[in-house]
Amino acid sequence: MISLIFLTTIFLIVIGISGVLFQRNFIKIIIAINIIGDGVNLFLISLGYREGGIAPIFTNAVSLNMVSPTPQALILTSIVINLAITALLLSLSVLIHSSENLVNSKKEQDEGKPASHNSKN
Amino acid sequence: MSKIIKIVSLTALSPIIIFGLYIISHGHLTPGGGFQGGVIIASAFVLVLVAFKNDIKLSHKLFVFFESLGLVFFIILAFLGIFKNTFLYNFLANSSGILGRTIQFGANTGCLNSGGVIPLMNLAIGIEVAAALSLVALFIIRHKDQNKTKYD
Amino acid sequence: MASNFIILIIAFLFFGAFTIALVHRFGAKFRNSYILSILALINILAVLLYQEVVSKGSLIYTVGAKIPSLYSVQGFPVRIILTADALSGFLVLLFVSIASLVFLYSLQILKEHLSLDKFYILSFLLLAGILGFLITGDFFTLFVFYEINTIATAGLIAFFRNKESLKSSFNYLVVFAIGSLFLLLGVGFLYGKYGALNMVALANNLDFLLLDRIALVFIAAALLLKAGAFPFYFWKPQTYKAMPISAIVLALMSSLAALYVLFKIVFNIFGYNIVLGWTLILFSILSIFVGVFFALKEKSIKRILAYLAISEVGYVILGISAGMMMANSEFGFMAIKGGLFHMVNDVLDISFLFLLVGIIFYISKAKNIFEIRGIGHKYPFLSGLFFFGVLAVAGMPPLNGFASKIIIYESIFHLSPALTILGIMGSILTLAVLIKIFAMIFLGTPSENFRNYKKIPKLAVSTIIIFAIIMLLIGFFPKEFTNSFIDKGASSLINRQDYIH
Repeated sequence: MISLIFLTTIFLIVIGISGVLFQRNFIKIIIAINIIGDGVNLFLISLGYREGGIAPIFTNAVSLNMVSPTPQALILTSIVINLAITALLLSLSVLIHSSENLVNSKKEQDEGKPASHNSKN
Repeated sequence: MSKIIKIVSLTALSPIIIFGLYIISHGHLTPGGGFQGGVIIASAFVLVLVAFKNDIKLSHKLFVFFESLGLVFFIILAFLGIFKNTFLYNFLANSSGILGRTIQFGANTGCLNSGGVIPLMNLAIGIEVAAALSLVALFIIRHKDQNKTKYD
Repeated sequence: MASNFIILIIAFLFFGAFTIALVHRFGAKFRNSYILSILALINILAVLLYQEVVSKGSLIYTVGAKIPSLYSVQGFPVRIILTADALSGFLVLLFVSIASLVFLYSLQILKEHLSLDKFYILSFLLLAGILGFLITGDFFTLFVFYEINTIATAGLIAFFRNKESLKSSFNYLVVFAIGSLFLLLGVGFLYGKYGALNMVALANNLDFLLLDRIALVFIAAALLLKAGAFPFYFWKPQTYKAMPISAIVLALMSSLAALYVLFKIVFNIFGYNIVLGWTLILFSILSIFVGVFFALKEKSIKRILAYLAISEVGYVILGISAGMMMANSEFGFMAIKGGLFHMVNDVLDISFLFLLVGIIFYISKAKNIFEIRGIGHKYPFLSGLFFFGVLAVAGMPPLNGFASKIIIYESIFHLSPALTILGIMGSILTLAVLIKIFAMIFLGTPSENFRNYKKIPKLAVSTIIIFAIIMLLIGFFPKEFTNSFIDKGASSLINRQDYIH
């Protein structure tokens, strides 16, 4: 029986990839990329678990049996990088919207519609 | 936005910035650190920007200056380690200098005066992240009113 | 202090990138001289690094401590390790010199664009990311530099803020965000099984079970995505069309650096494997043919050159993976040497063609090829240079393309003659595509207004002539070139015991 964490990871990654493949709206694609990142981060943190360990902070330690802090450093870097990619993707969608009134990647577009803040799907 | 939101956002600016500075400066003792504290300070600026869309005079040159300042401070600290050992070496820890005391194991309150180069690097990263994320938010909120021919 | 050169190259590039925004206030001339001084410093450091690697063997550098002890006090392995061997030292030197020439070129061509300091910041960050790829020593540094490359390239794609550049940048970022998350997943599998991330520890302990194979597939897929090989080539044409020309050369170098990392991982850590070798050979043959077939129906010159870049990457992968299959024989070593030599020639030739096209677009301010038909009648010098580049890419004898391709053909003949025949067919089709481009641009009846074109920019053309001289020299003296640079590189790639020690 596969443990619950790995099932959640696979579930999140599959949802994220299907979101990127089948969604048209820019914001939904960005949310799907964030979901894939969350799944991978969850998987990486769960690798550091030690039985009965506590949080690896020296000034709070009642014992020296700590969970491993190396994957925590890895996912911190990964979270920062995902934040930078999300910020870049959002700025690009704002620019695409302002230059052509586009919020999704459909082939046909209504030409004369004013820029509305409701997202089409 | 209405007047209540504008006044409350200006009032909430100070506690948020102080809380962010607390998380930055205690980065070597409690969870947190440079990046997390920087995001908190940036969220304060984003709050003010969303409340006053165009009625406040926040120029982006200030943010660019602080971002470069934070980055240059960080990389100068990294270069200073070369004289002792290698790049990014923690040359102030376990020494008798400014930030050099060590922490004992076990449950204690910790000591702000420890950690070596890490609190200084946290400060640099905090300034940089706060300025950079505020710059991103400034651009997204205000880009329609900018002069289109001048890319700077 | 003497063995710090590995990190000083990247550190000075980051320092330059961070301070350009401050220097920019003092005027354009000061900023240009600042950029050139940092580039000169990086060149000197690259030469010193290569000399040190040649004299002392592989170097290992730990960031933050003197010796790379694997475990700290509490038992948690926390070190970032950088390594340099003969091949990566040579590639660092080559990429730094080509990047310096391209920066000189861009100082003149992009002079009139307004937000030029952001271009230089992004280019420095991309160059630092490329050099970081070449000297990485553990998997987490690999992931970080992969992301630096992705974000810097995405910024450079959207640099001219017109509609298709923004859309191309969005597509590029979506594809590479997923690719890098799969790289992180593969690295996570390896960490979860072995508890260590640096490449030497993994090379010692690796046993090739199902979990390692899954990790290898994820990591190899992410690196092939960055390189632009067969199943993952679709992002290249629209990306290269939207970027400024100086950034395209940097993106080419980034693809080849990713190929170098892929082969370093496969040779040194995962070992020789028949399924992987034949898969890579199949992908390379398909890249070669995809490159030339799809280039035949394109109308935009940058997209055609991007498809040619895909096909040249296919030749590199063909050479090195065929060498992996014939592992312990004389011809295997020759095939690896051919692949590495072709990597060098590929970056020189395709960059030469791209830079020349950049000059043509600069002097004519045209948007596509059809406006500048028949330009060869007014500028015979430029058309002569372009024909020189065509001969080099297609593999004509006195130039460098011929030397590397003949080594690849001869050595993979001993693996299977069908591969040589397919390779030669690909080369003939490449020639057809190149003649088509040449006829499209330079021949034909000239269009009306050639008189209000700008003068030929002297500095940019002189950098291109330097490229042409290097290509001629490598073509005329291939044996000396390979003996002095490529041999040591190839032997350090396959010499597994030396790496572990």
